[in-house]
Parts: sequence; C-alpha cells; structure tokens
Amino acid sequence: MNPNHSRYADWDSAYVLGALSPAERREYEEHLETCDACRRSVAELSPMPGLLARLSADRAEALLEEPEGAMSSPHPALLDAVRREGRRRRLRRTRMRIVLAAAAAVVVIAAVAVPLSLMRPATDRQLVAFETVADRPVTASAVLTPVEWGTRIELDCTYETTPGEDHAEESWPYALVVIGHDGTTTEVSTWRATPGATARLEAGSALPVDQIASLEIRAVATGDVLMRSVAG
Amino acid sequence: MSQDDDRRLVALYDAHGPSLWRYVVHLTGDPAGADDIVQETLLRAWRSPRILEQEPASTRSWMFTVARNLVIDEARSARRRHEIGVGELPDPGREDGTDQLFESLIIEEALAGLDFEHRAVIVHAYYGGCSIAEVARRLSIPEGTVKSRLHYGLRALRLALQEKGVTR
Repeated sequence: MNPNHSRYADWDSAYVLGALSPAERREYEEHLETCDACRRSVAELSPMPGLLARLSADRAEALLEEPEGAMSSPHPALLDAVRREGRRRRLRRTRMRIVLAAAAAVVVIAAVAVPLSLMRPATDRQLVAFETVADRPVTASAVLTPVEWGTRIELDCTYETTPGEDHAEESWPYALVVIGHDGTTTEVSTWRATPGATARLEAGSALPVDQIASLEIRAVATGDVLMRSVAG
Repeated sequence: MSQDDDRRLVALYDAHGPSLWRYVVHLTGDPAGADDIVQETLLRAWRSPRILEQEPASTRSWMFTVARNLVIDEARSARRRHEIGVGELPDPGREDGTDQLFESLIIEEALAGLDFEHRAVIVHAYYGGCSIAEVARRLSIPEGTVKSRLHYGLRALRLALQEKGVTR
C-alpha cells in the first residue's frame, strides 16, 4: 500500500461524484496511479453516479426537507398501538390455524382441477410449476393468462408446517419476481409466508406470456432464490 | 410480552421510526396516514425474529421496503374504492415506463434509509452539484468531514442497493 494512503483513504466518493476541486482531483489521480487500494474502491463506487442519476434532483433534494409535524422520538402512543396490535394478532393466529387447515384441503382440490381445465383447447392459460431451490418446505404453482396489458399471474404459495417445530411467531416476506427473455428482472408482488398458510395472490407483468423466461420466489430479506419455475 | 421483547420494540422504533416516517410522508405527502404505515411496519419487523437478527442496515432496508409496499397497497385499494387517480403514487410493473419509475423509487428509498448526515452530503454533492468546499460551507462542517461522510455514505448506499439487487 502506498505510504500516503491514509491522506487519501476517504477521497474515493468525492472523486467518483465529481466533488473534488480541480487541484485535488489531479492530486488524487496521481495517488491512484500508485495505490491499488484506492483504485479498487474507485472501481467499486464507479456505478454509483449512474444509479443516482435515475432519481431526479427535485425528489432527492426533497429528502432533506423536514416534513411538518415530524415524528419525535420516543413516540409512546404509537409504540402502545404496536404492542396492543401485537397481542391481538397473537390471539387471532391460534384461531386462524383451524381455518387454514380447511383452506389447505381446498388447495389440493384446486391443484388437481386446474390442469384438467387447461386441457380444454380454447384456453391460453398456462400452468406453471415451481421447483425448490433453497431448502424450505414451500410449494407453489402459478397460472399465467395473456391479457391486453401483458400477463396476469395468479400464484398460490403454501408454506408447510414441519411437525414438531413451533413456528408460532415466524413469518417471512417473499417476493414474486418475473424474469424476461430480455434479461429484465421485475419484482411484481410481495407477501408474508407463514407456516401452515397459503398465500393466493394475483400479480401482473407488462411482458407478454411468451416473453417471460421464468418466475422466481425470493426471500425479500436476503434476495435468495427459494423456488424457480420449471420450464414447461 | 417479555421485557426483552418490549426493549426490542423500543430499540427498533428509536433506530428506524422517525426516518421511516419521513420517508412515508415523502412518498404520500400525508403525515396523518404515515403513523399507521409506520405502526404496521414496526409491528411486522418486531414479530419477525429473522429480521431482527439481521444487521441494522438490512433491517432498515427491509422496513423501508415493507413501508413502500404498504403505501402501494393502500393506494391500490383507495383506487378500487373510489375509482379515481391517486396522484403520482408509484405502481411498479404495471404500465409502460414503470420500470424506470420503480428504479428511481428504489434509489430514493435507499437514500432515504441513510442517516441524515450521510444523505445530506450526497444530495448536495451529487444532485446539487456542489464542490467539497461548498458542501462544507452549507452544512458548516470541515471539508475533511464532508469527504469522510461522503466516503461512508456512498458505501452505505451501495450496500443498500446491493441488498435490493440493483448493483453488484
């Protein structure tokens, strides 16, 4: 590492964003020629101006304004509301369990019935199956329907309960992602996956059915792909 | 509810509540409605052990995403109820041009998720086109501090965008 590195170690962002004065910029560029560490950080940050450019200056500058009636910290009333609601949902969840068991039976019937309905020739609907990518007890299926604005996607996603494990307080945000043949990746819907529950959701994509390469279900928190549609 | 549980809730609120609220008001222009969105977002984070186990920056980015989705859901159901436009509320992935809108929304969300001092130097330097010396004058801080806040702020922003899958 270059011996002068400490002087320049935090100049990378200012350089990349074009905020250094002309004299400082020349000085930093001379340093870059002899310092691998700084060259690396500049390379890492180089996509940032292009990304920032997608947001207008007006919207960005508005992020520095303090809205009227700004929330103070701490905010006892709001915290109390969260505590109350938390207790209420815990109670309700026990009751939900029973309803969900009944709903699961309906899903099984639907899973059998949908492919049969697809055998009718007049329909353009496409049933999509998913394969598990990550180790989660999740099953999913989707129906794609061509519509004038693109593709309607109806997704069923069931998170099985694992016997002997108590998931009482767990649930995770999942996202449905559409990958186009042109390489675009669009998150079209998010929901919370709760053990023992089936999420039924309807989403849309501007892509026509034949432009959709695959569908993925991802964990919102990590971006990990959990399930991927099987090419049919 | 255990005391630990409650401490976690208060810590979540202190760390993310006010900036989350500002972001929601920024999206909707409706301070009164923002409380409900913040409340629901806090509740969801508080009840998700996996989320609480994440680094604070990841938790924050998750909460901002949840809040944005709640705003969008709210706008959709309002539209269903009234069948009228809801201004320029974001509706990703539905119409032409929405990809760009969605991208700008992600950038906005990542910026809003930064600490104020980091956000301020980035906005002044990049969007305001200010030099280091000008940013230092506007914020009444030394030039060295501007450089170092830019350094940490832009890295935090890059991390947030990586988590959202925008950049590698």
